[in-house]
Amino acid sequence: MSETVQRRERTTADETLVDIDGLRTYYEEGGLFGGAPVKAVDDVSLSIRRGETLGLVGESGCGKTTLGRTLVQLERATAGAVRFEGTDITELSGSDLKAWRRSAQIVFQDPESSLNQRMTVGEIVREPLDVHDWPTLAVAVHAEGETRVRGELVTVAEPGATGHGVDITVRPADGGEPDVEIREAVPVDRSELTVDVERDGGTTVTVDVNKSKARMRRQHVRALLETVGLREEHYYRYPHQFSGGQRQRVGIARALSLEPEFVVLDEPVSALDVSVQAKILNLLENLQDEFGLTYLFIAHDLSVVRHICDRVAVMYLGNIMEIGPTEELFESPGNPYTHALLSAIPEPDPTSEKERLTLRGTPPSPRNPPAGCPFTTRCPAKIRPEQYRELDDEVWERIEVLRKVLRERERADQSLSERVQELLGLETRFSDIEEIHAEVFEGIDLPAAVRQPIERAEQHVRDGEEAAAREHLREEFGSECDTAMPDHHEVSDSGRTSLCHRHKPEYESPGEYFDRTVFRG
Amino acid sequence: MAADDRATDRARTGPGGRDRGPDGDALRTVERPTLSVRNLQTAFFTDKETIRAVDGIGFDVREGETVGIVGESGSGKSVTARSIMGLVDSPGHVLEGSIEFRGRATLRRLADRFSGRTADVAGVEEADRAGAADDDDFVFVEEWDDGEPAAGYVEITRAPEKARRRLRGGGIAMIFQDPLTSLNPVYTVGNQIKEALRLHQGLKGSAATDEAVNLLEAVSIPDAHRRVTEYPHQFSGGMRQRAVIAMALACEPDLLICDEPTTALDVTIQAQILELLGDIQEERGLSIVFITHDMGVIAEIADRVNVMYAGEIVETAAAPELFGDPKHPYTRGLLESIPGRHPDDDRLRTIEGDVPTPNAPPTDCRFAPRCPEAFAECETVHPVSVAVNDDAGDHTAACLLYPEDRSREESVETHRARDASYAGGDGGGESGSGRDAAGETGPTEAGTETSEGGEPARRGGGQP
Ligand code: SF4
Ligand code: SF4
Repeated sequence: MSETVQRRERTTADETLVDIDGLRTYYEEGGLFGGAPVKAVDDVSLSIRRGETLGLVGESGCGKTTLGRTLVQLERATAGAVRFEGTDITELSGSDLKAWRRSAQIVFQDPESSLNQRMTVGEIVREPLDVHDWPTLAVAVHAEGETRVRGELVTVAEPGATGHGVDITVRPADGGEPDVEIREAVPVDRSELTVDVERDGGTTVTVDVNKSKARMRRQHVRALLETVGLREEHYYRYPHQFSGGQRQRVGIARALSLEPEFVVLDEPVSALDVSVQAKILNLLENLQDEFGLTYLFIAHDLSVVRHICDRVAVMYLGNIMEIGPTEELFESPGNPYTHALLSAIPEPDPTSEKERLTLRGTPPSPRNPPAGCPFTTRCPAKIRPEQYRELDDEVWERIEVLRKVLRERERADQSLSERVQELLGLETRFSDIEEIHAEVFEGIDLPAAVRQPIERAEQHVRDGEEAAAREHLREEFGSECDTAMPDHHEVSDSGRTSLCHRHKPEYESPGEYFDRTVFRG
Repeated sequence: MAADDRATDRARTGPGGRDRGPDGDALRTVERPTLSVRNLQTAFFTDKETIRAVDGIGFDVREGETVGIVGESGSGKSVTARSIMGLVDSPGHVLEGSIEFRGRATLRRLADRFSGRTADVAGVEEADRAGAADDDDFVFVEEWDDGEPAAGYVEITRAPEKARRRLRGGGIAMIFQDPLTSLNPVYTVGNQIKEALRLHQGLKGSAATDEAVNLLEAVSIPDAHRRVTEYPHQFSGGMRQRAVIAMALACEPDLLICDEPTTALDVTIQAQILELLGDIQEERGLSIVFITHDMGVIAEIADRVNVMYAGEIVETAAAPELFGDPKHPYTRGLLESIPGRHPDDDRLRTIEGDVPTPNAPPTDCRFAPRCPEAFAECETVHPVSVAVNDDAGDHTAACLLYPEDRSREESVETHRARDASYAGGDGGGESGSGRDAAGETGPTEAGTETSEGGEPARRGGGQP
């Protein structure tokens, strides 16, 4: 573990900004056959610490984007809570929700389509300011007794508000000019303010601002453009006149315009060339340092994630498979899926002799996740039942393929004609089990121990009872992985957790298993 | 032939050795590249500007070899692929250059079909071919066997559209980033593969069905018997790309051009497809041109790598060498900006500035405004590809810093002189092979260059 990581960990320790608890986001997609909802996010609990960058990685369809969008309330949660500084934002609505939105923003992957092509860059960045009537020019008066604030453009700061909640602080001084403090990000000069203090039992402060909000916004936008590395003259240009990298800078400026605390970065550099990507990543890091931002960084490029994130969450089929400090997770992954994902990254080094752990197949549909562990249909470390632990790996592998083939046929998107044929009791896809057997077990001499259960399953298929065949194979060759959802086991002192039965003491851990089998020697 | 052998062959004559004589000739007949691109120039003409998307590049692809072309957007890598496939649409045109394809089955088929445009150049020295061929000939037969063409090439830039259509999906197959561009949504995957089998192998009926199933199995699609009856939309992204590969294989191509074939796929699926391509190549001895922006992918799959920048190939080397010892400042910058190269750095290293759009023929180094090592001459001399040093026959860079074992003045002079001779275009022997990497690097290319000297006047006739 590197020094930086440790340092970062300590400074950000324990101050939770976003606390996600049992979050579920399902899509009900009626469709022709009614059917089950898409379980895009399925019982996710994690917390994001103030000032950190949490990476969220996984393959497409794993739910990472939906999770990000749910956190900024672009999607409605189906169940669970998202507590932002203690407030469950899934419960917010109306003006409360609108007010909260200022604190949490999102940057999208594709600057091309996320920016309105008919607006100038200035207008694009300014739009959220108009919508939220920024700046609020919230005035806090520090005086004994009752205080009142007057003035056309200003508002009264919430009692006890700090940070972004207070734009102008007035401290009346006895008999002299009051002390006035303007928050740095507010584009107003002391010279543009007239502040009057009246003592009438309490304190009445009148603040006149000699500057229109329109001008403040323009000024703020210009400053933002500069902050993200664009130039003043870009204000009146249109997005299509920009390169991909510049457009992404515009998207970032827009997201930052309302001074959020938390930014979801949804694949912000995936559409960019390497050399441009590096610049945007550096920019994001600089902005984080400058404004104390907290990031959720969604990506599929793991080398980018390794570079920019303090901690990483690995997602598969709506579940967090592993979450923990970045370096640690990359150096000694706990979960079998993390192992597989890391092993698939092509390294820019042709001499690298990395052993590859190639996953078969694709993730199952989130509409119909497997019983048991979400990764069970592809997991190369899947636990075998006691009696088959000594079985030849190749044979076991082929049996898994057979199961996979039968499972694939269950897919929801059967053709309509097939459904009809099936309903009519006609033989359709069950007729070719002999061919499948030949294909799957080609060149393999099936040991006696497995011959019988396989034959029985195949007989079920011949009888048109494919579900029974699957069930039989599951009973015979399945294990806990097929039947029970694993727990999130703590796998290191840093609190890293991994969702896998293999972390139980009675099993060989995923790492040990792979060392013995795949990465032998 | 292993990469090492090639390297030694080239090293024997070495860079700068232009008079190769009989030695070079002997090698040439032994192993000619499947695909040979010289001085290819493809430009797009719009009202506003001319974009010289591909500007004088050259490279070879040998049998069983994977040649990578890597570059960022706007580098011209995809236009290169489309030029080879004859797929450049208006307002784009191939202005100049030669693309020789030596697939034997294609040669035979096209010589048969276009006998009127086939030149018999058997026994004719390359220098004298102009006399032996008509102006509109595009099939060149160098050797006959029992009245059948046994060796020769098709000059793609001069081929009519009809011939190109036969070439595509015949001798040369292409795989795009989006598999749906190659699949028709209204036909089953099986029928599309069978159609390819009918066209290219004459297979019909159950023989075609069996072969289609075999091909799907060859690309590791499980349950192939059932899958042949399914439609593209029933396949996942990775499966679709496999199906496209199966379709390509149905055409029994000699050359497979892959344009970002894994870019839209997840890493685990990408790993599967790369593994598959590797296996297929090993089994079938295919030549592959693999185009990508991803340095990791290129490191994994390519034997040789060409780095493109603003329409030009700026560096060429065997993959281990390119990654282990990059020479061109752009290649270096590109590799440096990959996250993870310098884990101790707080920020990533970057290349200043943006990629330019090449609008005019180069008179300088197009990378100069961004190059940390630029010096005065970089703005006045156009660098050509040269061997990076005297020992590196196989590693070239288009940068005035090279050859690195000469003095700065000498190096610059080399570039100035060679660029002038190319740009002169006075009908001299060299304009045909272009200001590209190949000219100086090896016996094969040099042989082509000198002996085809008579031809350049007719080059570029294939496109307006
Ligand atoms: S629980 Fe079983 S299937 Fe799931 S990751 Fe662990 S070993 Fe694999
Ligand atoms: S020629 Fe000059 S500017 Fe171009 S890459 Fe070489 S050193 Fe840099």
